[in-house]
Amino acid sequence: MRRVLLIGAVLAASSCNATTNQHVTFAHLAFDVPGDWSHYDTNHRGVSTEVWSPSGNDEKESLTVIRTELAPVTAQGDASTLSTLLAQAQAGLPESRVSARSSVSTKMGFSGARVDLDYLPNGLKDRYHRIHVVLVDGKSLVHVLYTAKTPDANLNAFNLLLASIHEGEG
Amino acid sequence: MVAFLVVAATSRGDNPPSLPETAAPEPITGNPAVNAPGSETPRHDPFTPYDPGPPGTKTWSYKDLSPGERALADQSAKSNAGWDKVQAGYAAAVKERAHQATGDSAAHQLGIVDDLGNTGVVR
Repeated sequence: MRRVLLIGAVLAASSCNATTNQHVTFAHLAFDVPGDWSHYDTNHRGVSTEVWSPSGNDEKESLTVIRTELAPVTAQGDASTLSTLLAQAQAGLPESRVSARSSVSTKMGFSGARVDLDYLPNGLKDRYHRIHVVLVDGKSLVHVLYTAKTPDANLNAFNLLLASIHEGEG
Repeated sequence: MVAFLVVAATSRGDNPPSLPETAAPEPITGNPAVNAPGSETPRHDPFTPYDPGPPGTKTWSYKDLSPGERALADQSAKSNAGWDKVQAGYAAAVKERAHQATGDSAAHQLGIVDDLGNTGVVR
């Protein structure tokens, strides 16, 4: 009986881990990501980058959060310039095809621009889907990139992160 | 350099990228640099001949050539046949590079220093 209870507890814990979100802090930001996603960070020259991806990951999904302090003039520019620069930044990607452009306002008060596209990463034979959002946080820019070979139709992880991202203590 | 461009022309000639004829103008976030009055440098159209000198300057034309020189000129003209494909390859490669440069410039203005195409790509 005790063994059954122990197995049940382990199963419940693992199930909980797969469905419960993690609340994380990074580069003065805080946001939520799915519980079974893990990450690695890089930090150099005023740019902090954190890449999240799920375990398994047959869909080859990832979420990237970049906080950059290298573009204070752009951060304080107008929304039209930000949107134009974001769209043009995709022109350098191989065989990129932009499917949508829009402005973005998050629940936590950030605003910015979004572009949806498909492109062919260097050295690969399959096209990837990319959603690139850039948000203004004072003199800093916060980039949120969702990249996937087979994108999640509901964009659950991307929407979770975007809905929760805010200035944090990290 | 030449080898790279010729290879690019060959490999991309079958499926030319559907890029517009000219790169989109790049927005800038600062003030544009302006030459002082009188210091402007007019841009020369590369497909027009350069000014050979003041009026009256002697220039050579085909009819001024000797028979031997004309034979050499004719031979040179014949050897130029087929260069249109090479020129088209150069044009396509340059156009693609211009778009890539535009993208890189915009990414830098957005504070991105890493290769945007590889960022977050799970292989």
